Amino acid sequence: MNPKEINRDPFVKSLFDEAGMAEPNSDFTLKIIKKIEADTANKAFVHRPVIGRRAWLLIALFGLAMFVYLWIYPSADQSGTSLFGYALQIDISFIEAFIQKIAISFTISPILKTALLALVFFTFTNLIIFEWKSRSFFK
Amino acid sequence: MKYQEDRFYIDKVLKGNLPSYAILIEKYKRLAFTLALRIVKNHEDAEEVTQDAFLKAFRALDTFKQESRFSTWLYKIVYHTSLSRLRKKNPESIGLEEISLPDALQETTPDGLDIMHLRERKKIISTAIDRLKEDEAAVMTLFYLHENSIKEIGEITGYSDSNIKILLFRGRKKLVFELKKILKEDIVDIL
Repeated sequence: MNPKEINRDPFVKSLFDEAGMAEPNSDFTLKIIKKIEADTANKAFVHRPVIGRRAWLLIALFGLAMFVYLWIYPSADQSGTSLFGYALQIDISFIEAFIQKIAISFTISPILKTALLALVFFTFTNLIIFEWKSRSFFK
Repeated sequence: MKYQEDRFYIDKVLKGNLPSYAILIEKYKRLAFTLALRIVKNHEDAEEVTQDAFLKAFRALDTFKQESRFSTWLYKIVYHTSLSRLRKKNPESIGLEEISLPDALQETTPDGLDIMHLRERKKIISTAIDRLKEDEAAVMTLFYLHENSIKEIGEITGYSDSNIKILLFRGRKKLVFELKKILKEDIVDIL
């Protein structure tokens, strides 16, 4: 037989016809439809964060800027360590003022101040790193 | 059941009518399942592959262009999903390797096949088809059972016309060879 021949050989055709088509299980169609329904339902409930990535990045940048500003804020008494002419003294009096405003009167201890600032710094830097990673900047 | 043109159901599905997709599944499930079964050669795997293919087709239905038939597009998904399944199970590549066939092979009706009962015949033919290589079985199923043209088979499998013709030629020879072999084995068993 010539390999270039493309006629449907009647004998082979009869074999395939006789072998017929295979039959999937009776619940075949139902299974697919259920999968599609589940698929569609999952898509309808896709988690959408209230604050988007971009907003988080802006908040993080703002926070970092605030932190840097607080860090190098020229203090009135210039008693802190000096760097490029700026006193490295953290002024968080606005936090105390805020707390006082909401009628909670207590003095923030230096340890608590440091811990709070460390927490703010850690949170914001992590937010930025997370944002960068999610945008595949490091790939 | 008398079906409408595929486009009729596709348009309805795209408008959110899921029962229309169920009709399309009903229309093509046996052909799609048979193609998958010829490739993966296992009922459970073939069923999973076919379901997967129908799900993929549903998700991508809005990208389906009317340049080809829906069935051709669907078989393409079934074919490639089946090959992916095979590759996962057997990492050896599936290609157009040479197969050796006995030189004296004659393409005649194997002796004994015509006198067998219908059920036995069907079983023997199916066994012989199962012994074909995956690509031969797929191309032959599309050509002889689905009656797809060489061009359509090319669209589905990605093979060139000449490769398809070679697969058809080899497949025909091997099918007859396997039929003869099975019949011989049966006779030996009886004796």
